[in-house]
Amino acid sequence: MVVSHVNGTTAGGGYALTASHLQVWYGDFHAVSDVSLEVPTHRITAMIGPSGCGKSTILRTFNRMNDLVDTARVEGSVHYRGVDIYGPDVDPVEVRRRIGMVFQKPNPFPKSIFENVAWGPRIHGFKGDMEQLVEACLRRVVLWDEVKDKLNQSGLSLSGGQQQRLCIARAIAVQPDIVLMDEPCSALDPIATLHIEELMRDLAAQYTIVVVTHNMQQAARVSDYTAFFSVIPETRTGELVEVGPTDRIFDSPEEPRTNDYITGRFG
Amino acid sequence: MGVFADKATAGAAGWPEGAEEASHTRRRRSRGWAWRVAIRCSTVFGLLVLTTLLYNVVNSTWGYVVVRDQLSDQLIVLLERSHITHAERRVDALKEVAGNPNAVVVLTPNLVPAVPDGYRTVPIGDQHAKLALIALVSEDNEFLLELDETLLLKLLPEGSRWSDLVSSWPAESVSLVLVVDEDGILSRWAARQDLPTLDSLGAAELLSVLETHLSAGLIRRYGRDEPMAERSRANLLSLVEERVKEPEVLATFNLRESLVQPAEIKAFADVEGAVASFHSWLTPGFLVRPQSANAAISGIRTALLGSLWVIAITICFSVPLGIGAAIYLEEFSTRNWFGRIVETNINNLAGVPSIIYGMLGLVIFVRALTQITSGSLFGTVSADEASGRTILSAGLTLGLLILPVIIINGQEAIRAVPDSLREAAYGVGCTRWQCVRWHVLPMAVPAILTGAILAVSRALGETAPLVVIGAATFISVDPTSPFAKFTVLPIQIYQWTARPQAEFRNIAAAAILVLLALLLVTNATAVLLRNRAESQRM
Amino acid sequence: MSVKPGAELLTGGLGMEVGVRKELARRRRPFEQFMHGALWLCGAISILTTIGIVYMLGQEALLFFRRPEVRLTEFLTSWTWQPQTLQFGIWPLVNATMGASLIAMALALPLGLLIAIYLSEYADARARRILKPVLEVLAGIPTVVYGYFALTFVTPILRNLFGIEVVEIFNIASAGLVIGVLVLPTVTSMSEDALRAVPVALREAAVGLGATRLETSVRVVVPAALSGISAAFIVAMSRAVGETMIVAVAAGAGPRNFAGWGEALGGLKALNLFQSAETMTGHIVRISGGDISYDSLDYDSLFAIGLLLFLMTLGLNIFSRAIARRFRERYD
Repeated sequence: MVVSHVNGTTAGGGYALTASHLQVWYGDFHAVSDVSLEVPTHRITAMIGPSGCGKSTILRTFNRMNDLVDTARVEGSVHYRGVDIYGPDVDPVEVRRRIGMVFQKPNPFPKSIFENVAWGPRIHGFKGDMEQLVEACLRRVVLWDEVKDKLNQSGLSLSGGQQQRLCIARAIAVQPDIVLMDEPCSALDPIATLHIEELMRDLAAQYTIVVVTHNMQQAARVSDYTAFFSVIPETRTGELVEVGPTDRIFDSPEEPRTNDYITGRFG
Repeated sequence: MGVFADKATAGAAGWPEGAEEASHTRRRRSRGWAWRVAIRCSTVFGLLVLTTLLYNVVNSTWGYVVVRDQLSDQLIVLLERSHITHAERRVDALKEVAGNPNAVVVLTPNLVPAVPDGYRTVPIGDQHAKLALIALVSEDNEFLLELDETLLLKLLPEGSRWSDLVSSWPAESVSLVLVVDEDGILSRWAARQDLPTLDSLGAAELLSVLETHLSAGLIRRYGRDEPMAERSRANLLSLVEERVKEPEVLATFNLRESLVQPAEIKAFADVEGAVASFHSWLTPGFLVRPQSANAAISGIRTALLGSLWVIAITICFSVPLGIGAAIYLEEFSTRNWFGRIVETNINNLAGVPSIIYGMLGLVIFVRALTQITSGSLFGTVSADEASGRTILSAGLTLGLLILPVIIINGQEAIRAVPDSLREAAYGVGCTRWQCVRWHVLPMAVPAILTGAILAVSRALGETAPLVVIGAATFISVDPTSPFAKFTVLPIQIYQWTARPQAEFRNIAAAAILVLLALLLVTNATAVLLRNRAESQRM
Repeated sequence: MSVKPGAELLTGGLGMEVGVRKELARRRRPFEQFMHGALWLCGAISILTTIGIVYMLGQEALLFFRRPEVRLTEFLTSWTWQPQTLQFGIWPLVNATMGASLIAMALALPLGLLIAIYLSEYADARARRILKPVLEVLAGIPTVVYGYFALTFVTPILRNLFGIEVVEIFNIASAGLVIGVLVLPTVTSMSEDALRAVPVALREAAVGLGATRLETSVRVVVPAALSGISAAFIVAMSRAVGETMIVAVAAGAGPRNFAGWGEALGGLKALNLFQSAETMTGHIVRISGGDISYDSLDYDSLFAIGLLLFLMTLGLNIFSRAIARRFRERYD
């Protein structure tokens, strides 16, 4: 796959992540073949495509979440600020700390709201003012006013949208550079979805965001760049079809398959 | 088959019609009925078995029992508190009083010998009644001719002098020998006294009772186990019951027999000296008395303490190991060859008969590791006395036995923790152990403990492996360390059940009730824990 | 809000490859490694246990067969087990074990299967609430209690039914029946799981053809779950073979010997279940419970029996899992 060149629109310049020739197997199943992709810094990159095209799998290779699946095997490289995170002496724990993740279904810890945010910094040895940090993170995700009086209540007592914002606060509390979001709104109602989308735009100023979504409108609304994945029907292997600025992908896709998908003729 | 429009065609193709169809339906119905009856009966059978099993145990735990004591409680106290010397040979008795004109020998009429020279007989009480006694009094004596039943009864309390009875008699201390061959008479006679009960005697008095009735050699032997003077009152009391009172069970009746066969019980009760009473074999005393060769006074103290010791060791050994292995298999092991081997292996181990574990324990813990399991390595016993048949060996053997169960239950509990929680934890960059420690374990612990308690309750009822590694057949000393010899409740039940005498079946039943109660408590704890965990889950 | 919360903590800038490499480098986490090792050891203990079992059984059994008094062929073919006269033929013990186990299965299989059908196809929530705990309680009762039950309850009933001259005080039948009760919960719960795993669609298909609920259960669901039920049966069989206390209490304290195959099978004498006979497990427990000196012939012979017992139960368990695995693959 040829990586589409992105001209001077990336403020601050550079790529936060560079994946080259990524391949993923689950046991004998070739899940994703040969993906090369660059994720621009401080931008929102959306990954779209039909189900089973491997977009979530690729997202999980970006912070070595696939290590937790026994049968998963990854080939190729993902460079984070110049270092291959699949290099032999790289610690996946340190990778995940810098490349955070938000999941499809809100999954707060069954602990208090405060603990949900504070736990990550604490295990990384944060010795500063924890209350201040928690407050800052909760303010950052626009949740502070809603929860400031019940920080000791369970994170699970919140509504779905609030839980997801709590999960985002938890992710940014450990000071990541990149936040990966795996269909963060698929379990939420439209209003909550709107809140999260606004939040994503807001966060893009400080974080590089990669979001997987099955919702094309969402990709069009929030992302700066879009990568379109597809699935090879015979082998059910996923592949990257096309990547570029969101406007161009949606207005004038180069690949006919992209066009088919976007106009609803496929998928 | 009425749905077919063209019934003739359908019938032509071989469908039953008319009477044939009706009989087919009938057959189908009756077959269905028979199956349903079979299914219901089987189900009822399951309920029935449990009820019968419990009934059988309860039935043997309570019921009439006919007991004859060698010496009754009252008689023991009587002999202890009075001046009576219980001499079983008339000659001795006569020798004892010879030369003392103010001494008297009291006998039952059938025992009166040819009256020796210089003596005369004084009848006491109605000579036709069962309680008749005859006193042999020296001819030189003046006052004892007046001795009668009322006076004899008054005579008995300690420190009596003849003058205490009748002021005109001499102020000389009483010397009286009572000779009996049938305790029954003396017992009944003693029953008329207002005496304290045997239980209320102090340690010193009990010791004196023992010294009166037991041979010096036997006392020395007991003294070697534990010095007599240092023994507790309860211990001395049980010795008195076992050795002096020596209750002999003539017959036992279970609960059902007690209710429907009163005549037979009566027949047994008519035996001289026998007392029939409704008896509960399960009493508080049964729990705290040590083991004894006599069923009527045997208890399960040693076995109960042994069970608790063994289980404590089992828990300390297998619960941490089992939980650790479960965590390793679920959270750390990748599905490589090692993980797979361990997994298969654990499943196979869970199916190995418990007796094989007993043999393993015998070879490894009892024999190969004697130094450790006997405590000789730690200096508790000398090397040549070292025996590996200890509580420690038993606990470790049972630990190995339930380890696979704990692991399998633990794995299930850990698997029930949703993956989203692990992802959330790893997503903020924690290590595997941090994830386990802070997220997986807190959520899984109630279920893990429930599984572990159930496994431990299995160990509590295990018998065969402990017989193989060599539980002590008879011990009455409380276990005080992991290096002590042991017996446990199930083994006690096994040994008692294997005895031919009926009364041992009764105490086996009582011990079974205790064991079942113990298991009920542990299982109820597990269920409560599970319920609380379920209601607390956020 | 334009400043990253706690931004002062953020380390490094962009393009500082060496710095990043250092940041991401593997950390030494001594505690993590210690825990990993400790937990690995916990897992390894189970392997050690297996090695221990195989080694000790093999080693001691080998000692037994190496002795000049013992011949392997005699061990495997003779019908006399009499250590006093140095006769070590395993068949009397195996015969008693098989007799007790087969009686147990004859009771537990039909009953367990019918109860499982009731639980899975008929019972409403209330009946299940009563029946399941009853089965759990039955499964949790110590085997020595079952032994007591066999000796003091079942044996007298058998003797009343068939006559005191026919039924001995210690007999295989009583022990076998009670072992059947003991393994009943195993058969029931495993069979019920197998029945429940049959897809609802299959039941609907049968009912849709006008079959009654009973016809559906017996002719469709049970055959479909047959391999799972077989697995349950085999596991129960393996438990019955390894059961010790019931036979130790109720089955008898001495092997029932025969001169040879002719005598044993000729008059079907070996199949008389109302006589006392000692099983493999019963023999092990009786001999080791008495005063036995280590390294004696008696002691070694126990391990030969133990090895055979281990191989039998292991074989049954592996067989059962193989069947169950094939079953799972069919519906998943």
